[in-house]
Amino acid sequence: MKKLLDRVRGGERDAVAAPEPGAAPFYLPQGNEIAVFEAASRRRLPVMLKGPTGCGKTRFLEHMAHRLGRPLVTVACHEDLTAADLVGRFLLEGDATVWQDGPLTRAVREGAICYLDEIVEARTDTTVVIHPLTDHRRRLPLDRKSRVVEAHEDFQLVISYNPGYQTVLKDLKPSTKQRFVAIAFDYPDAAAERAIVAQEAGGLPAGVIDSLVAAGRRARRLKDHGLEEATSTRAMVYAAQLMQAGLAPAAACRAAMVHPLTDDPELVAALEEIVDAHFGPDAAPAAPRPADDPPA
Amino acid sequence: MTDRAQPDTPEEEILAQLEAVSYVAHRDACAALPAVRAVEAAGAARWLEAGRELFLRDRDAGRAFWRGTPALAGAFAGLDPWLEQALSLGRVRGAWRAVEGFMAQAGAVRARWGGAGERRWFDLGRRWTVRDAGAGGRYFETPFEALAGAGAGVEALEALLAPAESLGEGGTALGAYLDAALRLRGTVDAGTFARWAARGADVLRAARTRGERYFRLEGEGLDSLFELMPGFSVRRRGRLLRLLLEAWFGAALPEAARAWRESDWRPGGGAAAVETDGRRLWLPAVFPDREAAVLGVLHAAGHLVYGTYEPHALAAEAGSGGPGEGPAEAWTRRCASVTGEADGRFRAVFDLCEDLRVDLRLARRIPGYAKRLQRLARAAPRPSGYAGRLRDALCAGLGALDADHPADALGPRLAPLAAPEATVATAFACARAWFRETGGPEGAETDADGAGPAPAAAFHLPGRGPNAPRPAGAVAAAHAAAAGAGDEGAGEAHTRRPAAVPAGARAGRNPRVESRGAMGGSGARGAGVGSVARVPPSPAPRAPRRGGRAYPEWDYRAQAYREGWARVHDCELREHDAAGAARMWEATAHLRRRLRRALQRQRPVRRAPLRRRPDGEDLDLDAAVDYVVARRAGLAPRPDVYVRRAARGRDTAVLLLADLSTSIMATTPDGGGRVVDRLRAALLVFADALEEVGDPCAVRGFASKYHDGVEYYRIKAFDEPLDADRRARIAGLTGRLASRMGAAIRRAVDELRAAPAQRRLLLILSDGRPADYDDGGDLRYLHEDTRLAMKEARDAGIHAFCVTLDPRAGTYLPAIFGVGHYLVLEDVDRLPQRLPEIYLRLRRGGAA
Ligand SMILES: Nc1ncnc2c1ncn2[C@@H]1O[C@H](COP(=O)(O)OP(=O)(O)OP(=O)(O)O)[C@@H](O)[C@H]1O
Ligand SMILES: [Mg+2]
Repeated sequence: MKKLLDRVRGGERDAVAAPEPGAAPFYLPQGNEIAVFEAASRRRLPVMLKGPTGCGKTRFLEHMAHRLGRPLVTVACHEDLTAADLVGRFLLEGDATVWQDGPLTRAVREGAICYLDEIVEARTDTTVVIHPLTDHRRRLPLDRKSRVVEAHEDFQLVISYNPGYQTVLKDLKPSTKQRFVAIAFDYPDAAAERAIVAQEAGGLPAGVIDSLVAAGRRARRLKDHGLEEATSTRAMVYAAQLMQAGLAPAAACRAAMVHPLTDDPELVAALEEIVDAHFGPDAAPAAPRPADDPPA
Repeated sequence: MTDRAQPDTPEEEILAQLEAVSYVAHRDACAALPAVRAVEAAGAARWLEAGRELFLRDRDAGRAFWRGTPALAGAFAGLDPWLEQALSLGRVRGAWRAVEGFMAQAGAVRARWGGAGERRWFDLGRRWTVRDAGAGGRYFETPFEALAGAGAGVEALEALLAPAESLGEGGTALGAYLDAALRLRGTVDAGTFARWAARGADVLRAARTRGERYFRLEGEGLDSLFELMPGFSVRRRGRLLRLLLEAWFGAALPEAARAWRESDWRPGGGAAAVETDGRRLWLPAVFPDREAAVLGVLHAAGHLVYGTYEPHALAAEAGSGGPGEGPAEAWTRRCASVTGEADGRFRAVFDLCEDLRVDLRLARRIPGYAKRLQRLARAAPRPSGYAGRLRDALCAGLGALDADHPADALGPRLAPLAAPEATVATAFACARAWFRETGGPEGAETDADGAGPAPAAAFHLPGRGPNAPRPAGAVAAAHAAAAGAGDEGAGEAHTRRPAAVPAGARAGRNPRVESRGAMGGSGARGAGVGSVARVPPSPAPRAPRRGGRAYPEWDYRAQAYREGWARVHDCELREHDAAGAARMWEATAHLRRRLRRALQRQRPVRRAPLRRRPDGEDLDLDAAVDYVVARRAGLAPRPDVYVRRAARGRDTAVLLLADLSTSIMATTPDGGGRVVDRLRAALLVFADALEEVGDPCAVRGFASKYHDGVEYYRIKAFDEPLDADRRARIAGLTGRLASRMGAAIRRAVDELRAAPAQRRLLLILSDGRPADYDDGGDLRYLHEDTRLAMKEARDAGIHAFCVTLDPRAGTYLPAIFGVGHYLVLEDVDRLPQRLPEIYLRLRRGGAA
């Protein structure tokens, strides 16, 4: 499947397209999220994915879309995203004006999964347009056209949401939240995290992956001690991929797991200590799992 | 010979006169006379005259002169120049100690540094004596080699005193300077010392008593020294150590240990090392370097995590003491059970074994620890004698840390330490067996110098020290000194609990502060109201306070509001501190400038687009299409087809509500200042940053005493600029009373309701849990009320967020504010910087 993707890279393709043939994107389940999602899908219930950054929410959805054989339309929300950007607008074409569906409308018509990533970032008027889609009505009003689109039976709305203090002022209204089935994600446990990193950066020696994940999980403990976002699984995957590309492990960790996280000098120093403990000149060669070190 | 019978020679005359005045003087003079004649026959009269003058001025000086003469006459082979030198010293008022010291040392100085050297030594000392006779006395009394430093010449001495040249005259500064110089020599390098002394000279010029305190190494003198000293400054970089403890130990390390304090270690007071009382840590202000600091702190934490100070761990090995035996006494008793009180050697052997056991465990927990520690051990200078042998044994043992089979590498004697189930008792048993058989490391029994504890303890690596817990007394004293406002640890809880006094009788004091002794809390901030729970709620009769605004309060026991129960009084702050405000304005200039620059950079992005405008930077695509469509349909629409990125005015208003209860007067945990200082700076920087952003901002404070005495202080209202007057108010803030948070929140919500903005944020700055005098010790009561007040705020469309300085807030804030609606700020020092940053993160994505 990767090859296939490579072939289409750089080219254009329709935002709403059936999943690529082949195996589903790799996703390692953390709990019963697959079952919950499948059930919600069967009953066409909207889903909210909650969890910290880089813990696999997007990957999970890609995996599920593939599994369910549905197209996936992803919209990364930002603060200038308007309802029109989602729903659609009139365009001029020659002498005539034509309506062009936005990504949400297309998903609604064509029976895709529409994923609104980081919904709280969007302007509040956008959250209003999704309301009628999330209850039994399952319809999307096109105000400008004075039309209403009834949702395709395969249409499903998924939003993601990273509960953190940064979003206090923008928090979703309880009435919005309660329209969704929620799946809570967190960083996977150590064994799963090792498996994920190993899979995403194939070919690295097991010892290196053990140390990398141990260092990352160690660093994660500094969350709430100045680190606003903890070291994510994604950051570990990046570090592993940099190593795969030939970078020395300590340098890879600094580049992927230290400096993107903080500018605070003491935190940087602490994170570097942790990296050096695992990959520095003094690091012990991948020792057996310490007996009395409780899993982070 | 015939002359001697004549009473009228000058010599005879003087001797006779002396005899008349003092028998002893006469006797001493006669005794020294032959030595003078032997080197300079003609000089006897001159010598006697000088002696008489000295004696008449000051008997002690005279006596020192007579008695010191034989030695000096020999050393100088004559009377010059020392005779004149002694005389000129003696002519200074009150300089007898200088003369004594001079007479005692001049010969040796000349022998060591030659005539020219002796002259420089004297000149320097005389200048000091003239400026301050006491300091001169100190100078001449101090062995000259100690002044110059071992093996150094008179130049080193001149360099040592050069910074003092500008110190001026009189007072005790010179003496204090000299003491400090001597104490710091060898611990502090010359450059650091010179910089420190130069600063002190400035202080002294500004204010004499302050300067004298400076040189006595009190207050700012010590602070300045710690700041200038090379090495790893815990005051500046302690956060790194905290972060590492958090990362490597997390919850395994008790909270108390993570909130360490500064020890009373001073330069010259031995090696800088971590200390403990078995529960928490004390760190010196400065470690020799970062490795010593990091490894020392990890090791000390390892002792706590791996049970070195478990109270009953050694009971089987060494019996238990009587009731009331403190940890320190218990430790001493156990060590004494092997060797007797005076012998420090067993203690050291026990330390060695226990340290190895802990290091073995740490090496398994922390990758790279073994290699780092081995490198530290290799680089540390080896002490001599018994301590040196111990060090060798330690280094050999450390080699086992990263061995495949540590037990084999340790050898049979120490192998049990490597067992996973080894405890401090194992270490004790190992040490005892070792000590009884061979007296410790091999060859030790032939050592003569190993008896005292100090030499043996010198085996410890940099940053580490003996394992014995600090005695409780010392802990308490150091603690009280460090905590100022009454913070106390749990170690002494049972002895320190405040007497049960009816709440009403304790008027004017904060129950939070009073209760600390009984709470077992750790930080200076946030200790709860535990002891209040034990106080019978029998308030003395008290006139109710009227006026103010009445607010309901939630009573969870009745599951109902008590209508009008809380009274909130709008108050003005009386304390203004214009000078302090100016200082703070100055001190925060850099931070404020940085924030403003960051804000300016951020601002354009912050603007939300205004659509469908008659003019603007960009075409509004939707509007343009609508326009064309309408035109096509034959209508005449207005050409509002542009997007403008102008600031859309005020979309967020913020009210900063600061808890001003007594607890903010506590010192910060790192000993660098008080919480209130950081709070003031934070409010100032915050208000200033908000002016730059342009968001409407009000700053309020609150404190309370009883349900009807909640005070709501005006610091800055929404429509007021941050002018000199408001700044002076901020600079004058002090802590008072308790914190009935719910009532204050309700008042703030009222004020915010009227705020000119679409989004309203209530930012609460707190340092502990809600508590008040009349809550009867029921923690839950005010918690529940605060939770309800928060809910009311939400219902009113007001977002609330709490920033707290209480490290233990995680235990109660989630219930009150909800997850994600509060932030624990561990590093008080960074409050001024963090507060505006937090606000900006909160309002990011400000499009409404
Ligand atoms: N359970 C998992 N199975 C497979 N890969 C995972 C898993 N969790 C994390 N990953 C890896 O982490 C990377 C980041 O995950 P993803 O992009 O899904 O994070 P996210 O939760 O959507 O983050 P954000 O909130 O920042 O969008 C993925 O590309 C993948 O490599
Ligand atoms: Mg130790």
